[in-house]
Amino acid sequence: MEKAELARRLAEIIGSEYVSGDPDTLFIYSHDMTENEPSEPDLVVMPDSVEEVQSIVRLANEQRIPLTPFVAGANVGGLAIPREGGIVVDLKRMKRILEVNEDNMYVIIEPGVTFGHLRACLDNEHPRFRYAYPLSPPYTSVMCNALLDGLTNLSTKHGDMSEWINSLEVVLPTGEVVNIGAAAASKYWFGRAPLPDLAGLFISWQGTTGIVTKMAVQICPKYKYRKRMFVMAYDIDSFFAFVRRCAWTQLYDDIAGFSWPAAKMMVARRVKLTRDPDEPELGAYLDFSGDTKKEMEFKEAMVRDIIKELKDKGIELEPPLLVDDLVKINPDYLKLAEFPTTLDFLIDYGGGGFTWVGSYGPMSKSEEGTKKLFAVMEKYGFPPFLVTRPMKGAHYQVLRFIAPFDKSDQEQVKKVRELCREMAESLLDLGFIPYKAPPWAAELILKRADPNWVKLLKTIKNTLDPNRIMNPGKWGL
Amino acid sequence: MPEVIVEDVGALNLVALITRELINKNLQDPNKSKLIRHLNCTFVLKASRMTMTVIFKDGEVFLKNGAAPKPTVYIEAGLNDFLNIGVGGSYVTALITGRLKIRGIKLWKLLPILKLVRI
Repeated sequence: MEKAELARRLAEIIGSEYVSGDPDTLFIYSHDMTENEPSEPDLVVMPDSVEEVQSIVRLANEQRIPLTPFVAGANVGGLAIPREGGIVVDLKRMKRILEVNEDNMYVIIEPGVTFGHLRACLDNEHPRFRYAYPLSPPYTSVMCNALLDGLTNLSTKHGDMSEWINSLEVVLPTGEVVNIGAAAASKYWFGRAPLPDLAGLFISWQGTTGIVTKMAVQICPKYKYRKRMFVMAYDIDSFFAFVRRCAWTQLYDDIAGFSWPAAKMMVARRVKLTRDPDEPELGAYLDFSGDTKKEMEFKEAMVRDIIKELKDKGIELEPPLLVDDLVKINPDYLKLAEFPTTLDFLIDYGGGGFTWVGSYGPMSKSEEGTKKLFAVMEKYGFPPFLVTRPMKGAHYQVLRFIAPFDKSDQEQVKKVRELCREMAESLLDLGFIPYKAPPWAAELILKRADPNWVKLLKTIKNTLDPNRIMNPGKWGL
Repeated sequence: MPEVIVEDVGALNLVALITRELINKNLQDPNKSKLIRHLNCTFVLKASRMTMTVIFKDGEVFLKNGAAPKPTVYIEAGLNDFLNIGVGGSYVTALITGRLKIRGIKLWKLLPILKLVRI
């Protein structure tokens, strides 16, 4: 179908003001902050309802036109770059919070609902509740983060964000709308058990199996008291000994970790950084809450006891630094503690490039992985920037290595590509698996994966999307 | 407004960075920035393992990592005590309990410096 004719048909569905083939608009949707190759769509559409999404999908399926779902484009892995052109379906207009169910502790949201929206809604209208928030800007999509196995400041307790999904409404690549989870058989979208869990057909599939148009996610109680602190460690082994010990208590809402460039980048506003050998190498960030002062005192005392216990074993850690104190000196410190957050300290440099290789893997390999990957980053001339966190009650660990770079410098872009590839290979060697895997990383995973798993993946894809219209090029599909 | 002069911000250790922020914040206050006009001294701080030197000279303030030899005043504290005092915690209590150690100067002579490194 000719582009003009396609635009006309799409305009009939959603109105001409929400269809664009304008070169400036297409350029915006052709790239993200990362080193991933840009690729322009033919058209961009902005539907406002499930019926409109359904009609767009039906048309695309009939005409074999690729569709790429999009919200904020901030997944930093080229996941929303339309590899094979076609139509970008920007879901920003679908930004309604359809239900806040306090009694059953969930909210039903549309894809365009951002962390900023949700937090404002809960803080202002449902102050006894909270969702979990990521180290991401407030304009990013709650639904995309959950569908892509993202992590947040409650992941130490509850795991990646797909664990928070109760139910889904999905437009399949053939245009049918299906309810998944409790929503399939109950008017309450309370969970996924006890039905066969079909949510897995859409989680981490990077939009290759359908467009999710509604999602119920869990919310949890917000307690009366909250305290946040940093505990600095002088080496990688001491840091992980502390983090692991704290995580095993299962008392803390969040136990994240940052390597030295994080705090320095925030204050010094420089990418070129040097570590003083007497400086802590990593800092653990603890966030905890409680309903009574006694509970808070106990949790805080426990941190101090753990520091002492480890000191007796020869592991040196600094006593806690309170976030409230640091914020009095520079409010920017809150950007490492209060989420969602702005990432200006990471991206506001010449060229504005920003990338990372994030992975989930065995806690037991965290020290080795960190040491190995720091060496790789230093080899390529990047400060060893790590964000890490024990996940789901310390059952696994996330290691995320971050590299700001100058996107206008082609040499640096090439270097970043090599860096990311080497980091991903090293992580896979250790048993970690990259999450939100860009196409090049997915390729590395697929090469090493069980061939029958890959075969099953392809079978499912072909069954759900026989004309291969949904976000082609992702997961090698 | 005067500002702390640093050769390479990206090389400063965490304590030096925090001290730079504390002093710069205070220098925005005209009453406090007046203090540096006649202050000529070298101040070394060791917070846990990290050391840094602040030089007040002819109305300018220089800051760097490491300890200058023969400073006018030498202060030692834990990182958490340094931070606590920096944001207004009691240095007298820290001094009495031994968590803060000062050498080379009488306490009352230290007051102008303290006014510049605390908020």
